[in-house]
Amino acid sequence: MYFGGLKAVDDLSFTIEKNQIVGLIGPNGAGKTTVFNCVTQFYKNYEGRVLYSTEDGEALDLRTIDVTKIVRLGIARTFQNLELIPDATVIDNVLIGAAQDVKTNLFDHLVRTPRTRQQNRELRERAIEILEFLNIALLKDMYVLGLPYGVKKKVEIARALIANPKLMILDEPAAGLNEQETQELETLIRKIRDDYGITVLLIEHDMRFVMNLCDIVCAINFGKLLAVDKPAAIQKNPLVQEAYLGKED
Amino acid sequence: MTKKLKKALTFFDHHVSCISRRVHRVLSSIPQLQFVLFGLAMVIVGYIVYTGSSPGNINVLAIIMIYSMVALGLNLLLGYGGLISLSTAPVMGLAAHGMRILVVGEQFGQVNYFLAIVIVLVLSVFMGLLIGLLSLKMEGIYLAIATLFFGYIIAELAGAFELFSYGQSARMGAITFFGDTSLSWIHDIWTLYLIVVATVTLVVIGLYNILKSPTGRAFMAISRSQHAALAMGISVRRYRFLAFVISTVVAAIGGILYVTFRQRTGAFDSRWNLELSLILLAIVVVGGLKSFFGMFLGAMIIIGIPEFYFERIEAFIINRGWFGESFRMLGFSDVFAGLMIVLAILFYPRGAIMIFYTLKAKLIALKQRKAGRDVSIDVE
Repeated sequence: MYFGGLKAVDDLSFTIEKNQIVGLIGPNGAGKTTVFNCVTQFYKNYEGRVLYSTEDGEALDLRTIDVTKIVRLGIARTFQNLELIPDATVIDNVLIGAAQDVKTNLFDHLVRTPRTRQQNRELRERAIEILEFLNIALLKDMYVLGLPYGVKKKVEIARALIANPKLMILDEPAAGLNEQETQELETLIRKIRDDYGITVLLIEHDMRFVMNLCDIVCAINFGKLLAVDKPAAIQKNPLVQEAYLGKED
Repeated sequence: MTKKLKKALTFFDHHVSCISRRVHRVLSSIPQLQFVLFGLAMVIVGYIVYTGSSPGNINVLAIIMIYSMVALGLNLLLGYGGLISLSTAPVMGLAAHGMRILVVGEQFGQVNYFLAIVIVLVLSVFMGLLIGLLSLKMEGIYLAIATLFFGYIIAELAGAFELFSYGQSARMGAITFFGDTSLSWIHDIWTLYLIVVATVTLVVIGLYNILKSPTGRAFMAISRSQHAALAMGISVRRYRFLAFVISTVVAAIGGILYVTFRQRTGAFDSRWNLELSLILLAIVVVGGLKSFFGMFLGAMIIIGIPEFYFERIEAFIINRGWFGESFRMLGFSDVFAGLMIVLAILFYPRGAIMIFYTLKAKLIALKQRKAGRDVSIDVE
């Protein structure tokens, strides 16, 4: 993947197994978010392939899928810089994630047919369930604008969760959280994997968080793969140490 | 005596609060009812004006209702979809002229009034798609300029063809409903006013439903966070088109209502011009994004109060001969209208509708203080 003359991701290849929590780490500018954007098809003109195993076990090249159809395959993501609607309530923000499940059309919405009301009720219930799971159900009718950062992060996760994903892609979920919130997030992500059966791919700079949580860690630098391994092995890897700490002369 | 009065007052207070609580509960379960109540209020106000000393003011009321509705359509574009359009007024004008062409039928033969409405609305959908096409490549100020010239093209074309009476205002004449009932502006202005109020109420309820539905949420998503919208499967293109189509159709309904009420089409260069497009935009900004009552308040501030009060004051001063001839040149009502808009934006940058929220907060604070004082008396 190039940006002008800059090579952002170069010959990177790794595999994620079902029900794993995989961490993608690397120094600033290593190309982590670019990888995410390639997977979710925000960028299309990359070289190489992003393969996704569908329900019938077929390998699907994601490049053939439009960015708005990705979520239907069961891939939902969050963003590094919060992408929420500030002047909408928490629950409305979460319901954005259910856009693919809206089966009613504009005419239904115009005259508020019973079908619309039924569907709205169902979606709201599902949203409240998810908000309860994330412990922010009490805030459901608050506007996002004035909420603390930690809650906003959770709203992003809730919005991804309501899309019923099989793979959830989290871009720096712990950034800006305090220690207690980070620990809570750790248990939450584990629960997301165990209770909902969702595979998780995440970018994170908080090393303790990554090493505690992830089954597999993938380290990259300057767009190149450094190592894919268990957390303990990654910590000992000399290449990774060099990328983060520099080389000893 | 005072005891009795006090008792009566508490009794009254209790019942009022009971009723208001019940009204509040009903309104929050069926929010659409507030627009019906508003429509009824407008009927009462209209009746008072119509039977009062200056019945001509009912014109202004009807125009304010129509503009509020069109502004709400524009609000869907601006406040929800984050898009802008400066071609609202020409679209309204085109709908008005279209109605006259179809109903009077000098060129293509006469068409039934209701069929004419359907044809004009279908054509306005296409127009909305056409304007929406611009929004796929442009945003913000660029989109504003592009739509501005789209409006100019409409006005120029209308001025070039005799079909549109060279862009000038033309009489449509009395409207014939169902073959025999005809409404002439002079005699049936009250009925026409009721038609305006009923249509505006229905359209506003429809828009409200859309804005509170998944479609409304999608509009907010495409303007506030495009990336999230895309990632969640909301097509930005589709909803941009949809926003333009809806707002264009609402503008066309406004044009149809105007021509139905006034029974004149209005000229492109004096009524359906850029000034009106900008005024509609100002109604949205002054009134407050995202609320119909905000639109009504905005229309009241920008059109209503100058028309109802300032012009009367101006005429009064001119008649007395105060300040001499230069006052007549000043255009008192325009100056004050401008001043009021500036003040409204200065003190309520998020829209004049916020006045009500401030008042509510003050009321609650007052009540709490009163309650606090009562408690302290009890302690004594």
